[in-house]
Amino acid sequence: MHKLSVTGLIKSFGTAKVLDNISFNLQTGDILGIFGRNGSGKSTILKVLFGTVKANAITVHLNNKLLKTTHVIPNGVIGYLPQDPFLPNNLKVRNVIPMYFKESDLQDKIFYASGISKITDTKVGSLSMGELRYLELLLVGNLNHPFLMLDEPFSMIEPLYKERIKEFLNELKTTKGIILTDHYYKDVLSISTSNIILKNGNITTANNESALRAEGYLPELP
Amino acid sequence: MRAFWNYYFTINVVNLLASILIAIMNGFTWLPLSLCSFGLGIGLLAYYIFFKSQYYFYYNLGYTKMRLAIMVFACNTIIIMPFLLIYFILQLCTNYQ
Repeated sequence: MHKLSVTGLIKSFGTAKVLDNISFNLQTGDILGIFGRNGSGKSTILKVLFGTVKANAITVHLNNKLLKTTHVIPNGVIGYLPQDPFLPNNLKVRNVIPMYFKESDLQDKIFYASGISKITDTKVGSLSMGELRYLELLLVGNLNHPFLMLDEPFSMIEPLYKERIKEFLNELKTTKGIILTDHYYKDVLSISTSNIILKNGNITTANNESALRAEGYLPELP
Repeated sequence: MRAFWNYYFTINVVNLLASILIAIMNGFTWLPLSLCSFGLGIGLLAYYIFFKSQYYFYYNLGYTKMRLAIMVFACNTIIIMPFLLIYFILQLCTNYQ
């Protein structure tokens, strides 16, 4: 069981304060959904936590020990699926998998995952958006990180792949804590264990559609 | 380590081209020097401009941007130094004779 605690996260871009004293906790078994309108700072939270964007202020504790965000990548604390595709286009799928996993049993887990065997000889650049996203998620999700952050894993994904992703995340949460952000709120709500919404730099709990509606994220019902 | 070599070769394609150009303009001795300095800088810059999102491929494996750059620099230096040393020894011998 791992526990990640984030407190006092402040991030400004110039004079605009995007995140104003954000705090939340995450532990193994949790899937935390983060909602918010475009530009509200959802991706910024993930990047700050991953250490690729510097915050004005943040305190992170991993299992009650202070953790610098600059140590997140080298210490392998969090796996991160960014919004944009990140696999090198020139590589074939069968060459990418051994780059992520030395152990043959872990490689086999990916090679024999549903939908992967038919694309092993395909170059990453020739994969469909759904195939690529699913492959990226399998790679990052099967790494040995205790936490996983997913930025829009359901965007532009066909329903069949969405269901595979949901099944995979439900399996993963037994060993990891997961942060998930996506505008496909129904998909997020169907697998998340708790949810927050970002508005004007602050967070509020919003665990269902009516709460999202009340926060102005979803339109009012006619 | 396999992932690192993919980064290494991508960076060095641009590095090599830039360094050859510098060597053509300034002389052969600039080739190995550039491969560890100016050419490498051009390679890193080109990667950042054209393949920025691919850094996440390496981040997830524990490689920071700085660590990748240091590793490429170290590898190039280790590979190039013996050749450079032999070249300078030969130059010294030639001048001595």
